[in-house]
Amino acid sequence: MEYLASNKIAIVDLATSKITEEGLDEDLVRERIGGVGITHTLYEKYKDEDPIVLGTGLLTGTLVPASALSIITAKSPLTENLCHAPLTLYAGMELKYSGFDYLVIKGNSSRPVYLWVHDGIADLSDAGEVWGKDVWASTDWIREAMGDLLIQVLVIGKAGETLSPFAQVQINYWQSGDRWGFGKLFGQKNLKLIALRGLSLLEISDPDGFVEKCKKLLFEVKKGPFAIKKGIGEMSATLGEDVQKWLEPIVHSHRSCFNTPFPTNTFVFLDEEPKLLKESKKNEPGFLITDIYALLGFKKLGLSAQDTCELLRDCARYGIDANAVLELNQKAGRKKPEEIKKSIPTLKGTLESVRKGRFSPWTPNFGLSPDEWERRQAVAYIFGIHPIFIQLSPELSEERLLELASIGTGLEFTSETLEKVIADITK
Amino acid sequence: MGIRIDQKKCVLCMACEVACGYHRDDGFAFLSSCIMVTRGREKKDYFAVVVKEEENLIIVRPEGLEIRKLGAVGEGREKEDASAKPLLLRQPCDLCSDREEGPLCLQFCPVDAIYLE
Amino acid sequence: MIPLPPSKHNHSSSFNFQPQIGIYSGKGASHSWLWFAEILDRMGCYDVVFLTEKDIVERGLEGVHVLLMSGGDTFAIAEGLGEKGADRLRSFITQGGLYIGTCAGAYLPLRSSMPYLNWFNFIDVKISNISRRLSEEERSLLERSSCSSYGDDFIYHVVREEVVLKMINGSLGNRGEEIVAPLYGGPSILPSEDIEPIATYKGFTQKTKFLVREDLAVKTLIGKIAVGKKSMGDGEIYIFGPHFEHPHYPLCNLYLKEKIFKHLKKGRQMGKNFFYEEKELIRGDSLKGYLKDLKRGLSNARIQASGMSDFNIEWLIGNKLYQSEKISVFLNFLWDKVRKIETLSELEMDGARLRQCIEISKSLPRNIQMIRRGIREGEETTFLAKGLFENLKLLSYFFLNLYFQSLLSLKSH
Repeated sequence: MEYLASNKIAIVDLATSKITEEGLDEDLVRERIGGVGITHTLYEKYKDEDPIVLGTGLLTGTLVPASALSIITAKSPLTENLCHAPLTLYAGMELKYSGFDYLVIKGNSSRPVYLWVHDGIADLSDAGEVWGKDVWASTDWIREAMGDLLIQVLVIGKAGETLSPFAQVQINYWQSGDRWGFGKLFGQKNLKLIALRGLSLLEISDPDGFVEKCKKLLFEVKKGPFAIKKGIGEMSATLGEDVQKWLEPIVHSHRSCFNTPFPTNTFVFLDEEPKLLKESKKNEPGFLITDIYALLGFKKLGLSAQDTCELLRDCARYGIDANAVLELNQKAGRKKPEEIKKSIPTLKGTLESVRKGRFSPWTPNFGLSPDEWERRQAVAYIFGIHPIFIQLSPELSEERLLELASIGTGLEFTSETLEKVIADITK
Repeated sequence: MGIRIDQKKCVLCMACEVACGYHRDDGFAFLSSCIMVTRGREKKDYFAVVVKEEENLIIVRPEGLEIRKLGAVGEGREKEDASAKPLLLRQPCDLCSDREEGPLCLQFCPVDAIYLE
Repeated sequence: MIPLPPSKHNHSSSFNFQPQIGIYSGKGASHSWLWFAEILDRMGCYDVVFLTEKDIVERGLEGVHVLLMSGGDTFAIAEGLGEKGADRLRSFITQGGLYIGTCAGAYLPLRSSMPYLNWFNFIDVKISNISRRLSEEERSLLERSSCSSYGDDFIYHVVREEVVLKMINGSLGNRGEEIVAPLYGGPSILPSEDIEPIATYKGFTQKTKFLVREDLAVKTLIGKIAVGKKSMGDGEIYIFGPHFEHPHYPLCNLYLKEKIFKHLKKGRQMGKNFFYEEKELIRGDSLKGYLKDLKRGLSNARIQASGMSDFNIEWLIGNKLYQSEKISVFLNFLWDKVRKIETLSELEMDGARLRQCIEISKSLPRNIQMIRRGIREGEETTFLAKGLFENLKLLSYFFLNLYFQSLLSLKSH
């Protein structure tokens, strides 16, 4: 696969520490397009070895608006189904530039290891030194060891190490859309973290044509209702939830994921003056809110914004899904922040909210029917589009994305192919 | 005339950086972009956007703009040696002079944070 | 410096080419010698060897037909080559070699009374950009940064970046009379009987960066010789003030190519094979494995280096400022070359030499990490940086020799 790809798949066998590489077959791309279309195929191929498959969307990391997404595909310890979790912020983009389009991680390692994916090279190394560290310390550790603060880290904390079913794969320091307990899978495999960094070049079949179409698409997206809105507060408002007044006093800024017009993340300062413009002298002054439902849920429990975000931060450090913490504490009738905090290391119970679908319920439905929601998610996960932004922006239509995929790769993608892939991955 | 950034509007999405990389390499890459989002202080939520010009480094921080003479690193340092060979890594911003519609970073900024001054 | 194995006439190498183009990459050379490597690579010209001062002094230049000497620190180059190296150069030229020097490589063969340089008095000319030709008032206008010391005098630079040259006697053929070339401290030469002018400085472009008042720039530069030639024995010296090897100036590159190939066609009936003996040719999967190991070291190093871009630091090493970004110049250059050859299924390389490269590449990430930590702690890091740049240069020298030799061998099959 020559264009918009690194043309490489790594098969990482944790049981033997052997890593093999394959090319990304153009016929596979013609048939399955990319993203979840291909991670699904790779999962099926290696399913006897309990694989975790990481994949990039066909358009991830490009000038296509909101092309921020990569995904993790694996069998969820919570649902026992094949599920997909979104990798946003800068991690989805970084995987695309790491020199691999897909990573299949199979088998279990007998000792803690980490996977360092850089410039088309995947290396497994001993993680004894970092095992036991919380998520934040682990991210700091690998960035220091490899010498670059731009390294993107998919990492588990104590929750994953101790095989909590609610363990979440975190992105750097922040919560991700992993609502499937994939953190537990990392823990079972003794895989502490995956670090990504790449300085690759993605070539384009028709560069000028592609970029021109991206520009036109952005122009239309910018006319949409989200053009001047920002942050998790305004996103909540579209869900009929008013968190603005509650959250605003601690908001420091709103942050986008890679090339995503609407910033779906909000940074709050918890131990620092929120309106500070200069660089804080504190090393860890706050928290980036990436998960709207956890935020809204704790608010509904009656917690202050400060307490809520401190709890979210605790969850992120521990590497546990804040939604699970919320639900199980709610069920137990605990409402005090300190009680909730105390429950984190020993959290047990059954989640009732776990959905049976394949796509992470991290993405709100914004009034779409479940079928419509699922279809839009499938499209996002195939092409590598931010799964929240695609719901907000109908301009990112299937036709436009197919057209961009065709121009960018020089392959002819038809709506029939897309239909087939969607049918296959949602069945 | 040069590229300037309104930090209040910027959401650090890096669209400008990819657009600039495309302008240089005809593909998507970040190594040769002359506009960069410095993301190294993630935990502190402290970011800057840097534009490399012919003679200056334009550094836009939340608290304001700094224009730093290139080659004059820190106080009391000599200017760049006049016989130094260029490194040819990140070329200074040429305002996309070969593009009819002007700078690509500006056209791809989704929040209109980039302007010319 | 790791000594080269002695060359042999009849070694068991699978090919038997005469190496023809030498690129100086030894003491005093900055990174612009990589530009020569780049343009020759682009031209598909692989009969290239990279030479340090030690190679030249110990082995001489037999087997080399053209020697390319790029920019850097002229004094350091002269000191490194020493009197013996100067003799080697002289006999290389008089016996039919072509010497092409740009910038520092152009200053080197000019007459001088300065220690070290006075061994290289091959061309009896004077330069216009020396302070003794200035009035007191004009001297006072110069900034220190645009000058470099030259005994009691100093050499000064009036512009940087682009200049327009007028080519004399139709030397550009049907491509007109003018050529635009980049100038970074190269000489402007006064007419003399000992040099044949090939091009003179004619003017400036919008991209010219003035380091002094424009009238002083005009006085110093315009009409003076930018490119000149001298015949010496059976050979020739070409000196270029501007960097004709700069890879963004294809017309200049083309001009250089014509000069080089014209000379090669003449042939120089001399010399033994300059290439190194290949002890352990590897190919296929085992070569791929080696190249991957090399890439691993390079990738880890370039990621470490990219993590240093925030520091915006520079070191004074010898007489030259080295910016931290320069680390990436070497690393990215080598990276691109490895990427280019890793897909060539028929390629063969010397395993022992490749292992040497891998060993150096493995040490680089640690080197850079130590510098990064030193900077963060506010420590002096110049000695570490010096060591790192020496390693980068050494690795480039080893690997590029191997790279060109292997591609030449492949081409010959």
